[in-house]
Amino acid sequence: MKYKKSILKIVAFLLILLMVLTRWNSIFKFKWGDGVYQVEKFYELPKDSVDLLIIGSSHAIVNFNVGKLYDDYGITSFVFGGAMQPMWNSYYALKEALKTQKPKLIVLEGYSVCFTGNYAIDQYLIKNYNGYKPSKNKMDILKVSIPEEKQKEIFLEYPAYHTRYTNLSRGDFLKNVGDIYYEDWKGDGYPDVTARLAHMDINTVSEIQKLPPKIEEYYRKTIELAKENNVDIIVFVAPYAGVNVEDAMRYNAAEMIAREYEVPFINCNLKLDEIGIDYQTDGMDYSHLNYKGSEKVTRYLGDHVLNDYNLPDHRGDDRYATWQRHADYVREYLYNLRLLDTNDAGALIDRLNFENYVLYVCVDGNIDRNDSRIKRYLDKLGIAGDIRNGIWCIDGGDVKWGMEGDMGEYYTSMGSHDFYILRADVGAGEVYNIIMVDKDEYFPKAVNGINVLVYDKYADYVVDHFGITVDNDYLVIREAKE
Amino acid sequence: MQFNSIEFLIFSIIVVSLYFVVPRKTRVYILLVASYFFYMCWNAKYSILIGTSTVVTYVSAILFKELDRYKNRKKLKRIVMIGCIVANLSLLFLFKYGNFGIETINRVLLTLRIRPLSYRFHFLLPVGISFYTFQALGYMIDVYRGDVEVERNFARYALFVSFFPQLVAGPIERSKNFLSQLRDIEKIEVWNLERVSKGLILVLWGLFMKMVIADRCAIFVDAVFQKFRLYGSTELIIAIVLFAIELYCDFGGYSMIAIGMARIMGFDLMENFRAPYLATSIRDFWSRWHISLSTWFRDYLYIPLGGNRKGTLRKYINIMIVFVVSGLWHGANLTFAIWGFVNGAYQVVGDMTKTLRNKIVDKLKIETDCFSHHLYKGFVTFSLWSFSLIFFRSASIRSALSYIKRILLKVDPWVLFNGDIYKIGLAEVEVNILLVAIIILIIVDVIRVKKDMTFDRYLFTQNLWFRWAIIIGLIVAILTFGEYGPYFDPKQFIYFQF
Repeated sequence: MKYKKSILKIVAFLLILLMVLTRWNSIFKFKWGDGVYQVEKFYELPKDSVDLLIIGSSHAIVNFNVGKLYDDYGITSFVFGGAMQPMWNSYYALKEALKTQKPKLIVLEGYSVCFTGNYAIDQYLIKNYNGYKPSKNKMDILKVSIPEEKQKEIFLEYPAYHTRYTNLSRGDFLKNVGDIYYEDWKGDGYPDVTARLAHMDINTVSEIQKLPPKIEEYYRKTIELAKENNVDIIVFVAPYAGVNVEDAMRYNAAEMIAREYEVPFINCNLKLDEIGIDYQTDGMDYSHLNYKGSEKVTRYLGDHVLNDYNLPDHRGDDRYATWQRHADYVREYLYNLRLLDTNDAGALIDRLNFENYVLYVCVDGNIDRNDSRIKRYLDKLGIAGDIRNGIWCIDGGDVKWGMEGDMGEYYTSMGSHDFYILRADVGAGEVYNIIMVDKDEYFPKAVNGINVLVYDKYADYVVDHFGITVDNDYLVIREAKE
Repeated sequence: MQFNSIEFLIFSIIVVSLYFVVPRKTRVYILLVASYFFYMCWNAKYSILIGTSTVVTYVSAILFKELDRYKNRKKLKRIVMIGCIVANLSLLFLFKYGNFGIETINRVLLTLRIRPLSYRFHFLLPVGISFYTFQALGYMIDVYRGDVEVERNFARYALFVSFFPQLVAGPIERSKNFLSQLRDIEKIEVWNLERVSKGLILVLWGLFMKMVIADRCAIFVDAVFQKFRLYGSTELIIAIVLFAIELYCDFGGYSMIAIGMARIMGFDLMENFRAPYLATSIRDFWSRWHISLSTWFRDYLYIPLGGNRKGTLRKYINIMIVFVVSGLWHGANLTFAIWGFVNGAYQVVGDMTKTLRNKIVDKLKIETDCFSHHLYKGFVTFSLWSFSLIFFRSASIRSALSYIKRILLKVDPWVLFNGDIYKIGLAEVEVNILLVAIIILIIVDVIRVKKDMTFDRYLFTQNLWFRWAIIIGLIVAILTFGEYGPYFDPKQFIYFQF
């Protein structure tokens, strides 16, 4: 009886402890979108639902538009990638993936054949190790990808992130990081930065530089693993502006090895014109394309490569609804990115006519009552009548409420955000419209003109905040995204 | 194998499980093998030293007892006794004080303009040598005095000397207390949830002290002491106060883990720290700090020297001898001797001025039985102790004096307000965590004194939900705020080096 009571107590205590620690761990763990979180989301996929599996480094993550592959071709794909994922990690990622998925095609993004050294640096060790379920495969990843002296410290994962108490954020406490994007996320990323980049033409490089032994070993093993599992594989090198002669020689070596196995090898750096890559508009940095570049690469992949593999079209099939939701989000997200890229006032106002947008439109300062452009913009936004100072909320094209003339304040909540709108007298008879979203303040960008805050109620974030000033030929003032 | 390591966790689980599962008669052997394995994880070769110390004292004690059978063997018995002490102290002196001895001789030779000795010993200091040799010597002296029975079971005696929880940093157990418990090892109840829980609470509290407080303090302390010539009085004072806290939480934490581990297995080791920073005088402080060593010196050095039985002057001399020796016990460096000397001097001066101080208190009609007076006395005691630690922590006497000089001359209170204080290894959030942890430490120590209960016993006077909440809170706090992980340089327990 005494022992029975003791055992019950111990079990109850351990259960409570386990629950607390599990929750604690879920708060603290890394939720990086360039490794770790890919693995966790992969485990959530329905069994045998992925037809196209993409593995590789950040080049795999940012250069393939999974949403577009579903939208345009009905292909269910997933990017099982990690930042600076070395070839050995790609091999074990594939091994892990094949436990639950039977893809019809594997795209091995080939940038990692250019890596040097037997191990990645610390941060990338973690990005390509954490998140895996405990298994023999995970132990093998530890042994191969992490130097022996660090294995002990990294294998439990928690010790590496227990100090995150200094930078925990809202997302750490919520499921899917509190972001709808991650609910059906498929491992892909869409950089919104554009850098004008110079690049080297490597079409003339025909020399070969042998791959380092460890890279070659796992490159071969990856191809062999696909073959053993009767899955087609292609090696696909996405374009990047920083490609150099040494890289090109490595790719030539990698292509020869691929040929040995009769595996297609596509080096997009040699096909920039065919793909339509323009490094003045499509690059994020010397290693990665931005969302515009990634759309082009995806279109090339879909139109010219995937045709040969008869991948089924799953559009309209409820069993693949998670891809549909992801594609919906990506489409929306890219629409928002294009909005941010629009700097012509007229075009910008036109793009605001979108059902998921909630707009807070402020007319500030002194504007000529006969200003036809401003009147036209306001008409398009749904604010009819004479030009007058005030603030209006427009939801899906309809004016929901407005404050004109008098000072006042208004509170509302949308999605996960709280909004506070204030018309305040700042002295000398001047009235300012100030919008606060959570704790961020949005002051007018244009002193005399229209200021608009754009909130996407589907994606649940503030997309844009800009002003159109009458003082400078209706220039769009945006500065950095707030 | 550090107490705050995964290896020790696994080791402990295996050993404790085996200890409970194996036939009771083999418990001693399991613990002995585990203890030697534990020690050999530091340095396998040095297990010979602990083995030698064990064999020498074991044989000497039996020999000593055997000589009792014969008359007129008093002289022989004394020789055995002295031989045993000399053998143990030789080990200690050779391995711990060898190079210090050569350097001291060289200082004298240099003063006399004689060529110094060039020989140096090239071995590492064996971990815990000061602890286990003292424990073995304590046993031998107890046998000599007839305070304990001679232990004839070698395995049991070897376990007494090498018991892994307290092997490398104490508490220095007394044969009267611990050996008798080992003799009853077979009677220890296999499973007693309350006992095991209490042990676990102590282990957790010890880990909290070490990993959350001591190692966090160490970041600031190490940064300041390494470059103390770049800092002013504020940083230097904070550093020495934090070092006082670090030392307590490091060594006290170790002792707590040792006592907790032993309790899980059914042994009661002696308390080593009893809320020392709540002491209101230096004498009071030393009755709470490193109790096992203080009482060892009291019983085996101070009293044999005559204690306070041979007049006031002799008493003062004895106090100074004990404290200087105690200082040197901590390390082979003159800084430790000075540290001991300063603490001895506190006691002597305190004793000499006691009457005068009492007169002043009476004259000024100062209320002594109130919080403010206790606070004042506690503050003075802590300040005196912290001051002495400058010598303890400094690399040399010259550095210690320089440190003190900078405290007096480089006054810079503004660093408390301009944010500079957060640039010395501990960012603001870390300082806040440290402050909260120190407040928790003070609460636990106040409970120890006011309720006269150790932390584990106090928790068992509370309701189950509260006890569990505290235990889970401690686990989460250690896992979260403990200093460990890939980007942390783990700190060895300070007292391992003594």
